[in-house]
Amino acid sequence: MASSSRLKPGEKGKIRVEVNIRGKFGNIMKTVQVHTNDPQRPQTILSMKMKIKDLIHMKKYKAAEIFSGACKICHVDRGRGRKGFDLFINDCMMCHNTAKSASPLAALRAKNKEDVERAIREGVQKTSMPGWDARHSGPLFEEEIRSLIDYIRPVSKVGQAN
Amino acid sequence: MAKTLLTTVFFLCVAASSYASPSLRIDKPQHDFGTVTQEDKVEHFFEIENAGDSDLVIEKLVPS
Ligand code: HEC
Ligand code: HEC
Repeated sequence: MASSSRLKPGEKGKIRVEVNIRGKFGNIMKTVQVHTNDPQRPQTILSMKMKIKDLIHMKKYKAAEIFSGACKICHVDRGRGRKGFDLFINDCMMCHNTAKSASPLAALRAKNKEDVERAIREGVQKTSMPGWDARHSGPLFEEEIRSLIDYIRPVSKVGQAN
Repeated sequence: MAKTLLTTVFFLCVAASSYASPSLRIDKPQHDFGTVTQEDKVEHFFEIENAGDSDLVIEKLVPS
């Protein structure tokens, strides 16, 4: 609320806005409309944004840490026994989606196939993308890796055999 | 026709500026809290100023 609802010419004041974020998660945008007797602009919009993280995710981690400890309950186990689309939704989409930390599926599909394959197997240096291939100490085996590549399989280069 | 319209608009402007009026100024109407942990609430103070020449009344705040 405003410190005072009336300001003299030249006077300064503050509008205090409190946002209740209990139980909220991810990217949040909030606005407040201010109605005044200013004839030029009777309504002004104030906006606030934030990214809400739980305590676990406030720290910085090495990419491969999602495969171990308590992290894997959410980051690996949900995709266990699944393939392709199903696996992607459970283990990849929490990062690879619009307004999340990594490129959404459509953007991955616009990449070339070799880069997609290498990223999934070996991870991407200096990012939170770990290598998922069991040969690079990841949790996924050949069949699962292949199913992901086939699912993401870049569609932009139709007609190009590879 | 076009000429009359222009003249009318011109007179309206003159009329408006000759009266004293309040003017709300907010230098930073957008605020980025950045990354916050899950807690109950976050709070921000927007600085406002009456840059006009008569009293500014804040009638109401409508959150969305
Ligand atoms: C309760 C389930 C859960 C647990 C446990 C969990 N995560 Fe996550 N993690 C998620 C979800 C959901 C997201 C997507 C967050 C979003 O919506 O932006 C995510 C996103 C991430 C990201 C990418 C976005 C960011 O915040 O940088 C990283 C890195 C990450 N987790 C690491 C970890 C690590 C390391 C651990 C263990 C110490 C862990 N997570 C434990 C559910 C979990
Ligand atoms: C903890 C978050 C996180 C998870 C989980 C995750 N990724 Fe990534 N991934 C990233 C980040 C960050 C990058 C690098 C930046 C970007 O491409 O957005 C990346 C990059 C990639 C790339 C390379 C894109 C390019 O730019 O060339 C591919 C392909 C990819 N991820 C596929 C996957 C697949 C498949 C899964 C699930 C098995 C997965 N990712 C799970 C965060 C994650």
